[in-house]
Amino acid sequence: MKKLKDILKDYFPILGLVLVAVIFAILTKGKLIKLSTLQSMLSTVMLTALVSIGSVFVFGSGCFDMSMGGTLCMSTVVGCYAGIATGNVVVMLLACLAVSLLLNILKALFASYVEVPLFIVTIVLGSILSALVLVIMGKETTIYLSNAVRKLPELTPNGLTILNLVVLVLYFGLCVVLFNYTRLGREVKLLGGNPVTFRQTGLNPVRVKLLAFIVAAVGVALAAFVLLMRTRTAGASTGGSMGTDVMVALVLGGMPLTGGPRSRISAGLIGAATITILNTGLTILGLSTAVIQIFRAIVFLGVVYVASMTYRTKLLPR
Amino acid sequence: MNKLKHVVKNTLITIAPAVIVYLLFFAATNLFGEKGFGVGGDLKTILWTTIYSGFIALAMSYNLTSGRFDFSVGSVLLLSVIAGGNVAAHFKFGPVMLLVCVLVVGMLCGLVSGIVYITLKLPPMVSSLGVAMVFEAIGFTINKGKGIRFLGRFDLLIWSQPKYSLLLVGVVLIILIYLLNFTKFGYNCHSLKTGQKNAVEVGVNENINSVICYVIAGAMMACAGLLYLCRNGMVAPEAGLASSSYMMSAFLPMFIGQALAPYSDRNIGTMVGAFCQACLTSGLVKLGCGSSMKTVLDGAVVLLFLVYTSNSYKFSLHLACKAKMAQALQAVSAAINK
Amino acid sequence: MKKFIALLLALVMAFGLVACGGGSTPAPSNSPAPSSSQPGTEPSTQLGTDGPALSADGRYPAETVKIGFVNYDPTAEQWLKLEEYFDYLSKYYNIEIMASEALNTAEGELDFIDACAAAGCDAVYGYYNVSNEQALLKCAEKGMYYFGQGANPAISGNDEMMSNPYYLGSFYVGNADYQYGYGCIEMLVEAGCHKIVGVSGGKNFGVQLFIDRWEGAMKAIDDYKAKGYDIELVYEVPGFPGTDGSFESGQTTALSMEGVDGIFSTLTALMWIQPMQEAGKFGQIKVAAAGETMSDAAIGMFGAGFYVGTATEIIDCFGSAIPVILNAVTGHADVVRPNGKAAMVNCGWWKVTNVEQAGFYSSIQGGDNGWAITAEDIRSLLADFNPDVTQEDFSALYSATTMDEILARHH
Repeated sequence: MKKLKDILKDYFPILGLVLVAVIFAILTKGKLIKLSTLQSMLSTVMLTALVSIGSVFVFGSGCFDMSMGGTLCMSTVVGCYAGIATGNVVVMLLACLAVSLLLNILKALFASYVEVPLFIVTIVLGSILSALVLVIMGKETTIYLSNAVRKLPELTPNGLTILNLVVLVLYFGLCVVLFNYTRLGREVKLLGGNPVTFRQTGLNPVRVKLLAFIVAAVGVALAAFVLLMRTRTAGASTGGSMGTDVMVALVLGGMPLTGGPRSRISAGLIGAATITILNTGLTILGLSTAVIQIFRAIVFLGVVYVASMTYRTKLLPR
Repeated sequence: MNKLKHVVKNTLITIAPAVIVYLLFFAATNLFGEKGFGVGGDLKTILWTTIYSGFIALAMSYNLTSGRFDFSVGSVLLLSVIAGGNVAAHFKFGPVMLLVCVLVVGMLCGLVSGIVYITLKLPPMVSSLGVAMVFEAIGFTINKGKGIRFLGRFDLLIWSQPKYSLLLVGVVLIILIYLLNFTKFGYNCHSLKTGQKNAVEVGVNENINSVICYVIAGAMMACAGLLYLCRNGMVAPEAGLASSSYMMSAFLPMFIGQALAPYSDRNIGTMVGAFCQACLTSGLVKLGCGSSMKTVLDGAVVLLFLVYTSNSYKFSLHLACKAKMAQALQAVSAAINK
Repeated sequence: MKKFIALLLALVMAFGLVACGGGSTPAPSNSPAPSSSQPGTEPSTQLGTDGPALSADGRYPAETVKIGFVNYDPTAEQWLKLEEYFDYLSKYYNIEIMASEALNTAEGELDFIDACAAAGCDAVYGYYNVSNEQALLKCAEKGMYYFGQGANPAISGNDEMMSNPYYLGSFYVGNADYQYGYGCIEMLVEAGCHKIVGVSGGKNFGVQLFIDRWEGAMKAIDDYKAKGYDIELVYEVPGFPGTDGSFESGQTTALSMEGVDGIFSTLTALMWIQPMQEAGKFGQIKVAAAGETMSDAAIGMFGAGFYVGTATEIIDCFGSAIPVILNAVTGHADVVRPNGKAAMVNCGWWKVTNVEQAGFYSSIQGGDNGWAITAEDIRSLLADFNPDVTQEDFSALYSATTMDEILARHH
């Protein structure tokens, strides 16, 4: 029988989310939980959630990818160009998928065959990708779907909500099944938890990393597509902070960044929701930039501190 | 004699990257008709960029080599120079006291970062993100968000002049070389870097060592911030974790520093790496490279270098294996012939 | 475990009901119904005086008008000055500005607009815009007015957007940035400069305002050449300081070139002071900057002979949003939207060419002489105080921004 303390530790990320939601619901006098606000927050959370959910596979396998922002930016821009050139939504989605798959497969192969600290490589890669986007876009900083050869469908707010819900539920559902009920999930956790044992069992780490990055690429592609349908623009600064946002989301969701058996697929969704509620709540309160940052830092550190209790070690973490 | 040869060889290897990169770009720019690379005013700028990004790289190296990635370096730079500069302005201090004020604030910021890390025991990336947010916010509140301005204060902003900046970096390097190579702190750094668990179990106090590393990093970022202030006359605060971009210029010098560490010292190697990067930047500007393409090329060089340094042991391993195989075969054929 | 979760959910429901007061969520309005007062109703008076209703602390209007402000850089000099101006106006007018954090993406901008709607904002000030008409459409969807982007062809050049009942127009300085760039070259020529170094800022990053300022300057150079004046652009310094060293490298190259006697900058040029001093050229090279905000530092640099001219945007003109929004929110949208279309408020800008002008213009940007457009000036544009006000009166006031006109108005 688990003690209440251990149960709290295990479920603190969800408790953290609920606590943040309740606190801000009270502070904003209910403005945060109005239907229209919830609808807006769903649009906001989509980007981070989709990328974070897919990233659980990557981080879970012990890889550290900080280039999600650059990948998302490239995927969105190329998808937008495809949409403008063809006026076809399906082509736009396929373009987003092709770019994110290509980039993630390259990263997976790099992680598998080249011995480098992937964390630093992906940070540098993220800035390279953002710069490459600038080179591709030339003198423009932003491109618009309104310049498409054929008018692309514009979704109403309710239509956008339905799209968001369908995409999120389907992708999250798929990832839950893959991570918790298939061999891939077990292999990802083993690879992240103990790479030596993984190799000694005869499993192929290259295959697992490839599949993990491919699942993450689908998340990035869906995020790029949803972003285009919502904003109808793509720019050089799209997804700029996604690398740190994903890391923050996973940590807030209670996932250890080193991966392993304690990885949870729900971490991406819970963490993304927590950040979104925190950011939206702080904005609604109309506080100054400085106060918002301090508040955000305190809440972030507090929630992460408690959520990390389940995987705290005696040594200082690295 | 052998020792002398060894020293000469190591010295040549240490300065080789700097000389090669300088000559490469000198030749390339002259080939394309662009005069002025690496001489006169351009050399002064290369020197300034070397020392500025060298300080940032030194700051990051004290934590990154021990597996601690610090997102807060940029915010420490900003806060130390904004807070320290405003204190100096309030008390009408001269240039030396300006340096002292900025250093004190930088080291305090480093101390806070270190204490947060050892107290919360969170992954350093995570704790440094939180600390960065707080430091940025504090920097924003000082002087009503205007940062620090010493426009026209030529008497005060002397630290970007070559003679003073060289003096500063010289003193700093001497202190760091001593700390890293001749003190218990340095030995502990090396042992924690290579085997954290073993080092802690034999009695190395990782907490104190980490805090000292953060304090050193804070001091280095303060020096970098001072150089920036003296160059531009003003520093504005940043918000929204925009300060985390300051660390991007530190990677190449850091990796070159690590590669050159076996031949001299990591600190010296880092400054050599910073010089290489400064030449690369200046050379590409002279060759008319656009900003975005420059970022791509910079990043590509960093990646290539990282791949090389992380995998270069495989070459030596391969060569050693080959030599051993040859030796073994020789021994076998000798035995057969006998 | 199940009991625990059930208890938790019950707690959440209870808090939720308490927080939202048990009421239903109203759907966003489709018509521009102001939140602070109903259109067409006669406002009640307070304190026994004639005129519109005031708040308890004597400010107009009675109910707070909340305005969301889309900001690119909360540390920028211009924003800090504008914030001062809004603080000054809020002593007289019941306004509350809700500024965003640093935004530079379309999704960030739209998220902020959603948050403004949730916070009960009446209007959004599009000081910065990257999502083009999407920002306006989002405001319309949420029942908020949108002000700004007078030079954005996707909004002010789009008839459909101009006819959108939620668009309140913008302040307009012609093709402002182009004029600033052109004006800077004029000032350098007046100072006798021939070999010009150009600081292009974000031009190579595709940022439109820098592109416009640069194009204005280049046109001016071509025009002067055509008139027979000996002038040429000898070097371009790209980018911004402190990013990757390329700005500093370009600065050094520029300062080491023989014969350079003028610098045109598409952004503040104050970061040239130190390098110029170290190169021994302080006072020898004349500088003209577009978009410089008047400050003590800028005045000092005029006095020191560094600046020969700046093209300065007037902070009060940005504040023209306040009377426009107040009219709309208090049921007088027809004043600021004549003939059912948004209108532009023509505004002036300052061409500052000497230290006396710099001193004066700085003093009327929150200094000793207050502001160029005071709270009292704004009162004359509010239909509740001046029923005869028309949209042309806005342009008349905001265009009268020369030193003489300001002095005449305030004395």
